[in-house]
Amino acid sequence: MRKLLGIAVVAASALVLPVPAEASWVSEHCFDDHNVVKSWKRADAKAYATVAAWEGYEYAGGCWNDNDRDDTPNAPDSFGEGPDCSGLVFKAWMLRLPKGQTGGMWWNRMENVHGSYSSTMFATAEAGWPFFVLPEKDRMTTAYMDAMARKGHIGLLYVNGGTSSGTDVIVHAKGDAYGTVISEEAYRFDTDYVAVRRRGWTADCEPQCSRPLPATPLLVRVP
Amino acid sequence: MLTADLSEPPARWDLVASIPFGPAEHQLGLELPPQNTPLPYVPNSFAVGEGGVLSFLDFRKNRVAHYTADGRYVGQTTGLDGDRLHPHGTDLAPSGGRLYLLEQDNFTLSGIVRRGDGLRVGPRVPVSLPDGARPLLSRLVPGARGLVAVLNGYAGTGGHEIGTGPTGAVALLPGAGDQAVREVARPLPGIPLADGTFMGFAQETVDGRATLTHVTSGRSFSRSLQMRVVPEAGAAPFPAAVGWFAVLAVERGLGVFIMLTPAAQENVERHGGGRWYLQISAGGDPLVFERVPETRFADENVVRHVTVGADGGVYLMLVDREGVTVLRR
Repeated sequence: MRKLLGIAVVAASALVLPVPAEASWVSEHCFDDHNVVKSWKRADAKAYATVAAWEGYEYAGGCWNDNDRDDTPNAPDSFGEGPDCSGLVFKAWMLRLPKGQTGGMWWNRMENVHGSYSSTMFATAEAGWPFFVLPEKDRMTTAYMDAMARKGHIGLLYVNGGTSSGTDVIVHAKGDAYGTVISEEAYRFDTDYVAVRRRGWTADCEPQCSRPLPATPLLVRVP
Repeated sequence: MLTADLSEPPARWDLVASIPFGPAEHQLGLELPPQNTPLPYVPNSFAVGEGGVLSFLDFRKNRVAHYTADGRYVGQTTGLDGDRLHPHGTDLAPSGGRLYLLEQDNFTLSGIVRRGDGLRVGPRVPVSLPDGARPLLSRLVPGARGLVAVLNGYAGTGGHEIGTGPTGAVALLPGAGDQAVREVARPLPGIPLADGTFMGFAQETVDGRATLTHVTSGRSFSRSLQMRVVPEAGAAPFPAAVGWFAVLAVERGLGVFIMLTPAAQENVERHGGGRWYLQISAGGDPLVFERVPETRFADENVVRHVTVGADGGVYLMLVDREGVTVLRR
């Protein structure tokens, strides 16, 4: 039996970012910059998320720089710097707008886009969406840059193995007091969490995954 | 082989105290999602000291709050930080009559120990391993001989990647003056127990296997503990994700807090998961294996669910929307 949640649930509608009425960090620093990509690797997603890992947190946010500090401290909900948990995953996974769109899009971290999916949507992925809920969530099934998601939160597995304590290393936007961080968490063992995988990963080893054998064998003369 | 029966009701633990959430000083702090956090901010650790004094790492109010054994507020230790520019408190444990606070740096995962004497926390002491690397100290080990922390490899700085490096236990040695501990942690062969031996506990895989090691007089032996998860007594087991956490030193052995859930989503839907407490003797034999009470509240930010008190008793902290409840086994 699933645990009932004693927390508010992020609205299930598409999260459209409102335009700030006054000047804000977002309005003064962020800009549009994105392009379609035809492949996406877990290694690239990890590198992208790692840049975010020392930046801020902003509910429904999606724009951050790379100066390893909070540019809008003590100013929550003010169109400040940083993603929220689902926004980080949207951009790290190179997903596209609108909701349900397949394919890939690279987003500059400085483009203020949250994406069409809340954490609840990630956790209850609909058929045909560019991500899906894995049937099992043991460590034999999941891989790094898969997500652990529930109604209300989502984080990305940072490495394949677990710690010796059995926890996972997770990169996630953890709240105003934490910012976006890499931390060890026990989400895998919580019945509310499911494992979610982005569709269509290109293997990290590509294009070097397999090399053709030479047409003629090499001959080495042994003196 | 340990069997976790998901139909088993939780064992009865005795109520010690209930402390409500609220804005008043005598109440503990709570912040609910979604505006400022995706997960509730709640007290993420607790300790039970001499005379049953309850101390809570009150994350939302940037303090350690202290209560009598029956839950009356007696005061607070201030000076903690709760923003992303400073390390955050992660765990509490008493040792040698003092209360220690383990913090994790917001920008790196490492161990920074401060001493929680009196009304203000002492100065931070960044801890390194003997090779100079920053360690990922995930938890303290209440009940151990001396101040001990669990080491989970490197913190991810200075060219050392997170997920690599040595694991096990380290001793945090007393510092001089106001400095709570020395800056260099000493690796240990295991968790030091009262009788001078060491016991180690490490998870092997998530399918329910863990390794227990015991070192005494320079000799070591190890055994593997395995758990299976069944939906009800007599039924066939199914694959599960099993996490063995929060090791305690208790009664010359170890106590372990376990969280588990079926691996297959359909089994989660039908049977749910649960939390268990395991106690192991000095010889490595399971003495206690019972399901523990839990709430339906989103308590992912709680780092320490169980601890051992100064009286040697085992205590459980439950969090729900109304407040915190401490139970004693």
